[in-house]
Amino acid sequence: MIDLEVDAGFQSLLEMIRWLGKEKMRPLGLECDRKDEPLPADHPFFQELWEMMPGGTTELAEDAGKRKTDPSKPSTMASKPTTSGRRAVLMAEEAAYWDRGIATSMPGPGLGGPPVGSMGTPDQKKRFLGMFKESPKPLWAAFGMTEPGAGSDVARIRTRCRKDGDSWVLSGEKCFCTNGGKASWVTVFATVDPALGRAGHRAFVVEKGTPGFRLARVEKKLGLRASETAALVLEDVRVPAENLLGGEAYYEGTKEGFKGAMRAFDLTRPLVAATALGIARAAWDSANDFFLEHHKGRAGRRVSRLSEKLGYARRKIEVGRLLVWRAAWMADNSVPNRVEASMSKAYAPMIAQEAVSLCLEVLGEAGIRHDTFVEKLYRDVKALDIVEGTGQIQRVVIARSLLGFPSIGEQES
Amino acid sequence: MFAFELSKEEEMIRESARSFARRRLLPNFRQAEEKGIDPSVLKEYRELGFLELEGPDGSGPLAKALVLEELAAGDAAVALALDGWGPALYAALEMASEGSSWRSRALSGERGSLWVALAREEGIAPWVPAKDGVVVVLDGPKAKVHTKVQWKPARPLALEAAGSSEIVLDGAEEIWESEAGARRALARARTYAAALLVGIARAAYEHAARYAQERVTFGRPIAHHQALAFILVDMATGVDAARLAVWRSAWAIERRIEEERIAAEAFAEAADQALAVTTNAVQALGGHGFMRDHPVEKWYREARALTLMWGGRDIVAEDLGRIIEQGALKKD
Repeated sequence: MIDLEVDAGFQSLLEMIRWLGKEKMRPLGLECDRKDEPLPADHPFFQELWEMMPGGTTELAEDAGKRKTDPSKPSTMASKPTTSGRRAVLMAEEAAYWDRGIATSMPGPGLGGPPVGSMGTPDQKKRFLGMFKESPKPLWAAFGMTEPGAGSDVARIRTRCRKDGDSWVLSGEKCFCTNGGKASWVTVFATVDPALGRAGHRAFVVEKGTPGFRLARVEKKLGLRASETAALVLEDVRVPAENLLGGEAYYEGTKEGFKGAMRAFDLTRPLVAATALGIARAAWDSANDFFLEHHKGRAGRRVSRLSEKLGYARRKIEVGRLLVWRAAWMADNSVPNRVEASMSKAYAPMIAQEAVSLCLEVLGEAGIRHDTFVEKLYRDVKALDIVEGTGQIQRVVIARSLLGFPSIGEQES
Repeated sequence: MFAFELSKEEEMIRESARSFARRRLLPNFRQAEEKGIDPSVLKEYRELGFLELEGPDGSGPLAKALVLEELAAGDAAVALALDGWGPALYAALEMASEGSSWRSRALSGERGSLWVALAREEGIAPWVPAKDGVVVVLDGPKAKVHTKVQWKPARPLALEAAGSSEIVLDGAEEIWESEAGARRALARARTYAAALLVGIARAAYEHAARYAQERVTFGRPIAHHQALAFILVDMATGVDAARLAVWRSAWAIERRIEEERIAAEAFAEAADQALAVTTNAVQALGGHGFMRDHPVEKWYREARALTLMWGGRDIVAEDLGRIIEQGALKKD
């Protein structure tokens, strides 16, 4: 049975996001874009959010633990179907509609959380995720994998870790780390030996303030300027053994080393794809308003051409959404969805960029001005074809599955 | 018989512009974005004689196209700011009467902007890449020269260094009327914009290709992963196709052969290619392409801004459509 309705019960949550988006997220996002600065950690908006939703994104991190597969078991189906994945993509699209940069700066464990949820020992989950529920002030965590020389090719990370007594010493650098400067801790991936590739990777929780661990800089970007994109440096950072995610036992036993980042039920790619659609929809609404204000009731070639553009863009956005929804529904039902997740992530950011570009053409010269809003979306949307696996990597994943495309050590996650 | 060799003079002019752009424009583009053009750059531009390119003893439209491509590969915004009346020049050259003092004024180096009025638009131009100077409005068969202009600063997507304003136009100081002249003026302006777009696209392709040959993933330079290799070579082909379309337009303008259609095609081709090339250049650099450390994000913005001017690709498509509908291209 095909059903494309959103539960009435969930609508009220979407309404709340809409209210928050209109009142706070969009104006703050525009302000950050103008000033070319993310909001500081002590901005009152974050405290307000924290009080509304204590713990922030902690639930998503905990869910990651429930979704994980145990590679040693023949088939591990998770518990009964949930709607959390579908709700997550709806919320992600709506939040990005208002401001994607602000959406990614929301307090909570963020992208640092799921590795703790899926790899961490019960004690680690309690320590690192529990703190979010207990804190009266907003807190953040972050995910540190990418390095200047290692993005798509995760196996190439060079941040080293070596055991020294009852701690580990980490040295290296991480970049493009969202909220890395604000984070109370960062899930950092390091290698015991670069020659081992992914088999050498270890995941650590590195806490803010640990000597040698520092924020090198916050990047200046084309768009998504409300999002804090951090470069981090680790200089002989001493991390206690209790912060090695999963403990030593986690990394023994499986032939390929750990597959902590590998997920059979992929939700992050559809989530990111959903945010691209949110940005495109925002551009579309703005362009549609402009079109109706300037051209409604008029006939003629120019008007037809503009309405055709809007029609095309609308169609691509709606079909993109179907791809995202399908992948999320599969995740909710514990159906392996690697191809479908990658399809949504290959398709949606690409059409979203095209749609925003067409929306600018509907505005014409007015679209170049910052105050007509869509030009900001043109700058924001481009990131989505790059983050969380470029469109090119997504195509490799799909090709491997559909066409028997050979694997030359490409990442799985 | 057809040939694609530049004359010695054209080569020299191109080389002079290339060297100037590399020395004075490219190293300073971030600074220019924030602060506008350096007066010493303007001085050198004039001393090098670029303002005379289209004067009475000038070197023709191809030489100008060559120069514009080189300048835009350095900094398209500064190119506009340096070039006096820029594309508005052609309204004066094609439509002002023979003895008009506006012709020499248009070549004097004072700042001027072109705006193309589309049907039913009055009085307000939503955006021009300038902060002062003369504004020439092409409105059907008429060119309206405005010296009394209200300039309202408007933060733009791109081309900051040229200035950026919403403008309100008071009465025109002068009006020229010539249907044929207006068509030629627009054709030459479109060729101008197309040449800038070729420069931007070329710079973006070259930067991406260099990066892709150094950046290694999965054991090889990313340029050697076939999917990206094909994207990059399509970018290279696209730049060349757009450039040839611009060169053809320059030839058509000089020879007065179907210049309206050919210039429209040059703009359409350069626009399509520049948008695709600059988008793919950001993509080729991955996360680094999104950072302002690299210039690719600037070219992405610039290509989009330039292709939205004057009704963008839509009006060009309309003009080409009209030519076809009139049966002008029917085989005899």
